[in-house]
Amino acid sequence: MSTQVWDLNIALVGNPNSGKTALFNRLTGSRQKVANYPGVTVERKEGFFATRDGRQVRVLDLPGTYSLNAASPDEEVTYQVCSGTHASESAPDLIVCVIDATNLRLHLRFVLEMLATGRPMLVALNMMDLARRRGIEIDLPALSAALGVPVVETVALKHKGVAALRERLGQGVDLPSIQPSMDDLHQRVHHILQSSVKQAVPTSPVDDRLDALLLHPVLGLASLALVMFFMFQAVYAWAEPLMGLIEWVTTATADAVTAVLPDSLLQSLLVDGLIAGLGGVVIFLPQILILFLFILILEESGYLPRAAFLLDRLMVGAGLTGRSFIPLLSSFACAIPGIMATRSIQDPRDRLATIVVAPLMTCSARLPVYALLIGAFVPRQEVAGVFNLQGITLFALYFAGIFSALLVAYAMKLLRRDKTEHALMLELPTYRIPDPLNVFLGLWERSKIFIRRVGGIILSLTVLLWFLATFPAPPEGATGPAIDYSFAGQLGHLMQPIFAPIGFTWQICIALIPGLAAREVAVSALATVYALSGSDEAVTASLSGLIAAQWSLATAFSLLAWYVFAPQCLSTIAVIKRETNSWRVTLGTTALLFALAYGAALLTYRVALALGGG
Amino acid sequence: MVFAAIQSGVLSVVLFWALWFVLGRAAPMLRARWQQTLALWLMHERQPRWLAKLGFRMLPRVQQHCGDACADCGTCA
Repeated sequence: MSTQVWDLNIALVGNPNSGKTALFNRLTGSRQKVANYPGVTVERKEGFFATRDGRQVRVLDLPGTYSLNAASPDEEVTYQVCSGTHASESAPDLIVCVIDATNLRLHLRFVLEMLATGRPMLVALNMMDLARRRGIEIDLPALSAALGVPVVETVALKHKGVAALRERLGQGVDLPSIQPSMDDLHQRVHHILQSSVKQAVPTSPVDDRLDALLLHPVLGLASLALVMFFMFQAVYAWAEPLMGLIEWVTTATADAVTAVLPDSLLQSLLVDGLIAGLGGVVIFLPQILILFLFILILEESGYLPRAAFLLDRLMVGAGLTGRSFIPLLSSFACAIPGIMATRSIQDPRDRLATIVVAPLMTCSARLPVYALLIGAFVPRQEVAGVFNLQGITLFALYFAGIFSALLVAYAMKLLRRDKTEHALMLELPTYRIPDPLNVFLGLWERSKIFIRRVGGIILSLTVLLWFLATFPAPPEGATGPAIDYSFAGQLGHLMQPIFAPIGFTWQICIALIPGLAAREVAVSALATVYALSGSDEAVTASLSGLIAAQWSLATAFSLLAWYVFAPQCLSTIAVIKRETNSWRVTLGTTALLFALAYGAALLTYRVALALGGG
Repeated sequence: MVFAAIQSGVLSVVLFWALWFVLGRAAPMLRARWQQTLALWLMHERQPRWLAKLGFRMLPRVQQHCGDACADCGTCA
């Protein structure tokens, strides 16, 4: 337990989507610490700031909750901290309850519940800009009088009102002047709204019109498919110039190093290992960023919860729940946060199904592998004069991941005894025009994560693979490529009989091993292996061109099918173990996904061979 | 001759760093134990002062709880 060094200890609470975390970020800036609460996998975010008169304030960002009647571990933590019963967290001096000004009917219920705890409290009325735009007039003094606590208006996303909130926090804390009872909260909210809020129309006309289209059972699903389709088209169409630039830089750097250093092991490490390996992965950064640009825009605009609503029926039919949507969507970035996000699913059965299928969502680490193979084997050909074939193939691969996830979930549904379904209750936020700064910061964060991985795990594995592919040196009088005699070459040849039925070459077998640490390392591993096993041309030619010349179409498609299913990421397996606390589930999931990967690759390879793709 | 010596030095350092890094990802507790053993040996009173200081700097940082995977260990995404 750390020594207390703050003058005021405050906790931010609120319903999900109230802008609590945005306010936390604005208040504390970069002075944050993220960890877990002991004993449970619930994230604990703590930050600090100083008031104008120099008082140190500690801020705790508690998990979002709709009620103090805890139904999940996150909500339990919030309840315990607010009520002062948490084992390792002292009760806050002041609770700042963050509420959405555009959805007071829902959020005021929670405020009244919090007031009943009797703790000193302040209400941060967030998203006031949206409320004004929607014609909602809130009488702050009247609202403050009705609640019996100070009310400060904020727009956390635009930094408005944050200074006023800090100033108010610097003035100290008062106990609520009213102690509400918990009787008939709905009626009490109604009275408060009548006395302090004027709203011309109950909902936003723009939201209503957009929802009429985007939540329509047919048009809504068609719109969702169109958005996704456009997204994958853009990944290929827009990334081309930047990818060309990165490739040019990689080649120029390799040429410069070759010119400066004599033919030696050091030159081989730099050119065949680092430049070929890392360059082969970095080239896909533009495509990853374009994909995330779309995801961030959709998230910022308020469309994603609507997509969850649209897909709820389909997901329930497949044995999942609408609540699975956000964890599964997070898994498109990486399965790890996706699996961790399943903590918000209260039903253990639904949670398990979501965890098992989350690795089937196409994470961003698979994108370099897909992009490499599609670039090498699918022609850049227009379809219907608008779409390109490469984009369509990528869309199909993402769709294959989603479809297989639904299929696995459905199989689990058929096997389970409990056939009950759970209704989805979801708050649909107001549509917003995405804030360019937030989108930019999100992309910047993704770039940093990617570069950190390139400079960390990918770099270190590339170095190790270079070593394994270089030593031992070939014996005197050896005629084959040197890599054949190396540790990696021997291992690749040893593994090949297992993977020969699905068309994998020994080079692919080598790449599968470092790919266990991070999927995209498979690309850098292939680049290094081919650079070391080939002639001088192999070093300078792009990896895409090399595999196009040496692999059959059937092998390429088989590897794509393998990557749709294979959970080749040890971190994902470790997180499944941590979240389920069961070796049975972990090993079962891993075995299932590997079996699916092998089966799908075998089927794809054989069908492709039969169709003349050998 | 000089180039060969520099080359061997650079390759050894790079390989050691890569192994250490991968070990930290694959088996963080094991690496922390090894790091601690080495640091304590360096900090022994019979060692020169500068080695003891180096050992102190090498002591692994204690992480009590597992943080959220993206922010802490960076093995995802």
